[in-house]
Amino acid sequence: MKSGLLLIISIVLFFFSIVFSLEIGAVSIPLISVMVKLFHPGNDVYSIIIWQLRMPRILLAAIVGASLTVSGAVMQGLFRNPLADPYVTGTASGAALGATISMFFGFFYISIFFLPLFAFVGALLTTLIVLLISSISGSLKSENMLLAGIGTSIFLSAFVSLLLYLLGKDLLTVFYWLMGSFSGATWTEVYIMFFVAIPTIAIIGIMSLDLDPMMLGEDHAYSLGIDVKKVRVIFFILASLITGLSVAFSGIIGFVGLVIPHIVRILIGPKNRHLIASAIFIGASYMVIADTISRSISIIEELPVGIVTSMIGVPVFLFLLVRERNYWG
Amino acid sequence: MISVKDLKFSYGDFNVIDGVSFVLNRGEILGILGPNGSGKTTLIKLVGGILKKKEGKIEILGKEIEKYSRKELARKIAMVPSDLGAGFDFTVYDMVAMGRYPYIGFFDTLTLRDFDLIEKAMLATGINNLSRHSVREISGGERQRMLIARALAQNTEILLMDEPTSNLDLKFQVEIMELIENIRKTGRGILLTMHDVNMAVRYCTRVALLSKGKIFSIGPPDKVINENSIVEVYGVSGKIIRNGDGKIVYILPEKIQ
Repeated sequence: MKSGLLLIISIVLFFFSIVFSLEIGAVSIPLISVMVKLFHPGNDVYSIIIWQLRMPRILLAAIVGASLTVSGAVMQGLFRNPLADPYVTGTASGAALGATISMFFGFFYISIFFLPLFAFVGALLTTLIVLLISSISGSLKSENMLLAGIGTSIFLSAFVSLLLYLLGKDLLTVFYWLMGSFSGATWTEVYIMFFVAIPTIAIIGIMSLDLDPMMLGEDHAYSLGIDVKKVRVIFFILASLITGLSVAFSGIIGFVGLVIPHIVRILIGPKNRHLIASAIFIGASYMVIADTISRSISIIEELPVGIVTSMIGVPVFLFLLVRERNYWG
Repeated sequence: MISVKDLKFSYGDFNVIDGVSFVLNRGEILGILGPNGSGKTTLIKLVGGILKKKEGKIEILGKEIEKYSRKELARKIAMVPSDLGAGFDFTVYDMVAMGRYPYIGFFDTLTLRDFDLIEKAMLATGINNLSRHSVREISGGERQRMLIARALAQNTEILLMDEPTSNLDLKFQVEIMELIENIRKTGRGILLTMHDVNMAVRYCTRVALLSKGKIFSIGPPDKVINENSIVEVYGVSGKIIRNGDGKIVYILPEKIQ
């Protein structure tokens, strides 16, 4: 498929998913009302549902979806491994630990900004520790990094569980947060994501040209004029930032960062400029749709969105995988 | 084009390159020969700026290598690494197009001149009919030609190649070496490492015999390669068959010393 065509399709899909998600929920709003209230909000119930409840949630889901997808694409390129994503590399577990610490010691209750800050610091520190561990055992081989990432990830998850256990009283809330949810979304979170995650994604998109040679290995990257160490550190910091923010505001939502980049790669090939452009909108739409399903499938209680993302996405992914056998070489 | 003086490099206490000096001239193929572990690949990586030297001096086109930024260096030296990390499904065209990356900024796209150079590089290496193929679908020989095409698209005066004929069968070996010879005729300087002494003798303008990180001897193949140097460097005695003019026709290894 031509990359331009996929980009157009994914942008259209993105806008459709937003409108679809605004319509659906415990109260369904007819399309015409959605359109009217979007442009002429009032004080009526529909306007409140659209602008106070659904819109912040949809936008947060969209930005988190885009962030996790882009972060996954970056990690796969840097590690040169199709299995890499923020969860495998330990980045997300670091973010979860940071966020849990901010709750455990009560910083979270002082200001909402502490949560993303701690999550980012946790994500970044973990990524750096993983890099350090894997470089001690020799050169920075992607296999070493993945193993170090998986090990660190399991270790940190145990810490998160320990803190949650000690936290006791709020266990259920935090547990729910860890399973991934957008139910608490507010405009404040959307603003933070808007002003931090979107520019970060834009920088990654602009720099993504450098990821192509990185995917071929160090020697190739060097000989094509890439400052490998610098580029690697910059991408890790940027990917940690958006992963940290996503985990802070939505908990642990696996699968999206791993699989959406693969689906796009199967459709249009591995060139990162094209890949990331389309993946942003597909990841965003996918998360919006999954969240819509998670909040409308049962009126009594919401399903954690992570369950929905995996249950729809994995079969699609496996289907594409079987069809495009050549993809794995 | 390249001037290397007293170059040293070590991994820990182990001196891989131990005081190497040589020059590479315009329009020549300088072949680095030597047994496994003699430091050939390390030497190529040092000259290509992939590894950082411990001591000594490397000058590229009259300027010390450290004074180049990575991008500037990639516009002077193109490298053909020995293996292709094909973890991802790039097309042959995309791979060759990456040769133009050192020339384009983050906000640029490829220009007509870039497309022209990519096209010419693919024609020169005979892979223009493969452009839409995945790098995974092509043969070893085609893959090697693709990497050389990428280096040509990089439009540099110097080419470095690490074992350009390894893992190829005879026909492809000759094909690749003929291609490299044609590139030499355009006035570029080519530094390459080789396992196959016979191929090196046939195609290299000069060869350097590397042994335990030191240059044992350097010069035209007919002068450097002889019964004595083969024993000293490779640890194997052999017969060297020469024609009437004293040119080496074939080196036949016989007995381990």
